[in-house]
Amino acid sequence: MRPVSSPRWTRFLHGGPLVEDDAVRALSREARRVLGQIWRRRAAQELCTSALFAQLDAELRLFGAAPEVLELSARAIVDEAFHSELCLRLAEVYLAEPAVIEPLPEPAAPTFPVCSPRVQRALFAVLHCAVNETLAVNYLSACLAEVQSDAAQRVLKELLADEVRHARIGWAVLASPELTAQDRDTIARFMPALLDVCVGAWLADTQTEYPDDLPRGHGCISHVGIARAVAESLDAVILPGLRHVQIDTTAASSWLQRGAFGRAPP
Amino acid sequence: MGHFGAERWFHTLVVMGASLAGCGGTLAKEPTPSPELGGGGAGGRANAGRSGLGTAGAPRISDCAFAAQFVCQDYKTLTGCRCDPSAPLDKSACASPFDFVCDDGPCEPPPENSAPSLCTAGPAVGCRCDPQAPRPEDCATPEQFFCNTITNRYIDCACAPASSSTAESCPDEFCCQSANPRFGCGCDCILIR
Repeated sequence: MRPVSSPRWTRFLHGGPLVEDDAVRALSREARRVLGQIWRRRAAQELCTSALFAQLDAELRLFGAAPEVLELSARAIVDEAFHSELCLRLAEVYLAEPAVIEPLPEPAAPTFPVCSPRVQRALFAVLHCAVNETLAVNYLSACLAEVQSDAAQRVLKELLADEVRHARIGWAVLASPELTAQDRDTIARFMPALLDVCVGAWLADTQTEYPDDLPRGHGCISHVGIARAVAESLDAVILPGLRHVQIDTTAASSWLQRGAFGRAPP
Repeated sequence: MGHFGAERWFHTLVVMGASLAGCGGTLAKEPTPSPELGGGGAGGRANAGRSGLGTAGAPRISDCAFAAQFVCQDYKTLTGCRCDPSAPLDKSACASPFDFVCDDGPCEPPPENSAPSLCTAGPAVGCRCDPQAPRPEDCATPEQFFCNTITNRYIDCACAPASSSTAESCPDEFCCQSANPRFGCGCDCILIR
């Protein structure tokens, strides 16, 4: 067991240590191994996300984001590092042994073929927060809805609470008066590509490193569940959200209606 | 309703998130900040020199001297609206600052000849003193009382008994949302100003 000392850990541990519970004990050794590996991989992904937030935070300062937004983005860097620790500790619960993070390559900030630095920065926030973190919120919410393990539930709740704030960063940037009508038109034209990248990443994960026969209730919903969470997120949050912040959704709706991620058109 | 209730996230993520960007619409430009509240506060003047409903048809926020005094039965449809000159303009007007509550007003469209603008969060309207509003004394200790926003008014406040961090548990990180009155204390403050 590794020592932990961060303030959030101290607060988290007020709810008790993260330990094996009945739902975990009921699993086969193989199921625990696979779930442990998934949570360990998530720990590495969360570290990558922390690094991306560090880049985004710097860009948002140049963008001229509101102080409230910058407060969230700065905090998100630390949040994601904490998530990584949480995921790793949960991985250890499933693996019943110490685990280490296998570092992933340093993520590069996305670039977009537009001239305006302002739009570049906005698109970064849209991709990373308004779309990806919103998808994450719906995914985690779905995981929480079926979770059985107390340990997994505690971790999912922590992740979800933070991802809500992280998603708001993107929506705040999109609502920013810094963006002109022309900027909004440009962003609207990029939306299919952004959605394609994000949704593709969420669904690709299901096909490679995320077996569909995992026991339910441990923070890993089924492939069908992921696709449903993604579809609902697009239908009920992301597209209406774009309209709410005056981003034309004609192109995004066309992308959605093409059934770009294997679902029937609405 | 979606299987996972995705619709509920629209307000939580989009509306709340967009409101962090501030209000870039005409309402954000018109109010004159009151000395205490600053721009966008509940007491911002809606239209100096005018009071009452001086126009025919549906009354607007700008018909009232202060946005805080614009009261409607339904802000979405703007029905039953009036100006209430007795409405409090800021926290200091209530017996307890925690009693000062308002509704989120609608955005007004910009004039036709103005530059494109966006208003995703209207001003605070329909302000009043509500003695039933949550306050630190409701909690076991004031330190367990947290609000999402504290700047102009206390919004989404509640007791968080689980947040029982003490200064001893994190001497370098311990902080409070507010020092005077003291509340919302812990090892890392959750605060959206």
